[in-house]
Parts: sequence; structure tokens; C-alpha cells
Amino acid sequence: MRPVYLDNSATTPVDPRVVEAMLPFFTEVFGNASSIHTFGQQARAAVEDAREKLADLVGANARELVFTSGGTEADNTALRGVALQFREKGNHIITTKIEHPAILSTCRALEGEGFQVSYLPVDSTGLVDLARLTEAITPQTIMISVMNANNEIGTTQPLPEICALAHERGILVHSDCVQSLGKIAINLKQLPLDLASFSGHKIHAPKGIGALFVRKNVRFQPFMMGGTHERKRRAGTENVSGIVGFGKAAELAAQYMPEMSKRVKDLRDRLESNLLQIPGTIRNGHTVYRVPNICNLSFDHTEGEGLLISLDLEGIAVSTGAACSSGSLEPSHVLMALGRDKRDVHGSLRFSFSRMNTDEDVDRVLEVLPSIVERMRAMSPSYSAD
Amino acid sequence: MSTEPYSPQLLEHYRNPRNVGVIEKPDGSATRENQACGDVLQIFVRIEKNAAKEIRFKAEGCIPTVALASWATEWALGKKLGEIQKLNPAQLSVVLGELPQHKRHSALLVVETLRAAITNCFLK
Repeated sequence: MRPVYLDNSATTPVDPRVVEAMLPFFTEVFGNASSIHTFGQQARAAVEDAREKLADLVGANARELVFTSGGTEADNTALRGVALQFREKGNHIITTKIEHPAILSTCRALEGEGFQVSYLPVDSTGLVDLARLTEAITPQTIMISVMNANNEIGTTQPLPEICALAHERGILVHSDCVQSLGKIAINLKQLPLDLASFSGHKIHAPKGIGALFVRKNVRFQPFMMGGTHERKRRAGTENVSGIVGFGKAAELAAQYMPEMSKRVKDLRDRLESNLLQIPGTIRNGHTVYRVPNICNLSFDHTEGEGLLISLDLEGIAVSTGAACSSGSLEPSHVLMALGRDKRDVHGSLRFSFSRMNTDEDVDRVLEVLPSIVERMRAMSPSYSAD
Repeated sequence: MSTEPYSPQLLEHYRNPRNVGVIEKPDGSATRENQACGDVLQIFVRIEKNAAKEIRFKAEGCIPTVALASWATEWALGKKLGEIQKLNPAQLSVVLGELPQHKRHSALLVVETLRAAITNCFLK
């Protein structure tokens, strides 16, 4: 039976057309993009072509994009780079409680270096309260970092309003756009973010390649020290094949955007509406303001790891926010921030789609998951079907 | 499939748990909850001639909690109560494989609940 992969927010399969585009850059066009001979200049041309393609996808000027090793490096660079650049101006950063660990861990590290960080709460759907955001701003605030779409529940934040609030006060805005890239339109010509993080492997490019958007005239201190690569903004020999792959993936993502917002969304919605028919099932995340490919549900009187492995044994890959499911005893910080009961987090599953999913994938989950939930509830000391 | 952290024996118990259910009017029972991760385990025992004649459990918990409860109840069946009280978490890992560090609380939860159910028999 064909495996069903519904963990595309963790990573996606590389599109064969991306692999094909990358292959010449391992053996034929292998030059260092900084070299001035022909080998190097061929690589340079490919890097700049890829930069244009990514710029087209996000509505940026290509020169505003800095290639990195991935979303985590982009997040680290944005936060640390701005914090260090502007520490004379202020030492306060605002973010949210539901950010990716790449943001939260960097913020905690900066707290240890004399910065103050406000971690904003969210409502039960995962939305940031703009009034709370405004209240959190102080004369010392130099940056606000709020993710575009949440990786666990898919909720999208009101970034235009956040940018307006911040820019009125001369504060920079960064957004982790890793989960929104290729899922919803990002047009940086209209959305006035100062910095934005992207990752390749969430849009069918390989792992190990990402990018940081830095708007023209926004200054930051580079994170990686070394040579003059990426116009002195990120040292290190360019990962040419990865960059080419990211460029091709960005080109394809732009082509498939209508499919993402219709066919993939329909798949997600069909799965969700059917699973919500199981009594004791709730949705985590906003019903409207969310990316079209993520669905997060909690099944009461179940346990996420057991659900996940039971599905895995049926050839279906998903993820869970349950405690102790990923090497830690902590339940999902995102679901806890929604105000969910620990028991709801205990039985949570995330289904995340890509354009490669089909109706058959949804059918297969609907065929096996209800009986897994039922079996687990039959074993629960506290479950009553009445 | 990615079931690497667990031994085949443990997974077999998870997929086909033995002794699931309740005993009406048991001679002893106990319910314990792991506050850290939220796992709940309930064990019921019926005794005859100072040995476990019947033993059942219910669980809302992660894979090792269910699998170890299945193994432990099967192991305990027919044994003298004093012998059951001597079960320790290390025995479980000998039989079902070493648990990842963050899952060791499952073995503790199973042993504690089983011991508490047996102690409850003495109190009645």
C-alpha cells in the first residue's frame, strides 16, 4: 500500500524537477560562485537566477535576499543581527509565546546578554492581540518578531497591522515566514516587513537551504563571520546546488499557488470536517486565518504518541504535540498557549498537506483513524461513550 | 516505519495489549497519574490463596505505559502477592528493552500502580 505522508510542515519530499535542476551543479557546474573564472561565473549566474526566482515568489527585490543554511539560521541572524546593531538605541524585543524554537531560544539567549524580551500571549485560536502588542511597546523596543503562520496550528497573524503599529514608532518588524511560503501569497512590496525568514525544505527543495529577506537600508550585524559572500551579509561559500534547488522550488511554488489554495485546501477541509464528526474531537487553530495545508485536532481520552505510532504502523505519517513525544516531557508550547487543557494537548495530531497529497490519502486516514481512536478510548480509565 | 525507540516485544504488547478491562468488585485496585506527561493507569486485582487470580488494567497513556502495563499484568498473573511487590522498573527494561530517557517514567508508573493495587488488597 502506498505510504501516506501528512507531515509536510516538518519537511516535504524534494520535487523531482528540483532534483533535476540541481544535478548539474554537483559535477558539471561545480565552481565556487566567488571565483572569477568561467567555472565560478557559471555558478554565480545560477545563484543569481535562483535569487530572482525566490524574489518573484515573495515580491522582493533580489538584492534583498540573503541565502542561509535554513530557516533557523535566518531567524537567528534576524534577531541577533538587529539586536546587536541597535543595542545603543534600545534593548527590548517583542515576540509571541507560539514562535518556533529558533526564535524563542534566540530570544532567551539574548535575555542572557542584557536584552529584555516580551512574549505576547495569543487567544484560543492562536491570534496575537494587537492591543496587548501595543501595550508591550516601550521606548526601548527595537524589534517585533511575529511569525506569519504557525507551524503547529497554521494560524496566520495580522502582519500588516503589526507593521503599521511598529513603523509608526520606528520599530523594525521581522517575521518567520517558513510555514507560509508557498502556502499563501507573500508580497513584500505591499507587506512592509523589514526582515523575513524562509526555508527551502518546506516547499519541496532540499534541506540545508534557506533565506533571509532584509529590506533595503535595514542594517544588521551578520551572524556568520568570514568572507564577503552574499554582499558581506552572510559569510560562507554559497551552497550552489541547494540555492538552485530553492530557486526551482520557488518557481514551482508560484505555479502551484492556485492549487494550494483550492485543491489542497479542499483535501485538508474534507479530512478535518470528517474527523470532527468523531465525538470529543476539537480543532486547534483559527478557522479562517490559517494556511490551507495544516489541520490540528485533539481527540479526547487518547494519547498523541500512541495515535501517531498506530497510524505509522498503517503507513500514515503525521505529528503530535503530546508531551514526551519528541524527546521532551513538555507538551506543545503552542497548544498550551491557546489555553488548551493538558488532556487536549495529550491527544493532539497535526496533519499537514502538500501539493503531492491526493484524495486517496484522505480516504486512507478516514478509513483507519476512527477505529484507532475508538480502540484507545476503550482502554482509557476515564472515557465514557455516553 | 519509524518505531525505532521501542523494541519489537514492546510494540507487540502495545498493539495487542493483554488484560485490558476492569474487574467489578476487585480485591485491590489503584489509579496513578504521571503529572509530568498526563498518563493515567488503573489496575484491578482479584486474589485467591494470596496470589493474583485475575488482573486487569486501563490506561490513557503513551506507548510504553500501555505496553509495560500489558506485560506486567501478564507477568503478575498467578504470582504470590509478595513476589509481585518485588517487581522493579529495571526488570521491565530487561524484558522489553531499554526505554529512552524521557520515557522511563512509564516503567515507574506501571510498577507504582501495580504495587499500589497489591497493597490495596492487603488493606481490605
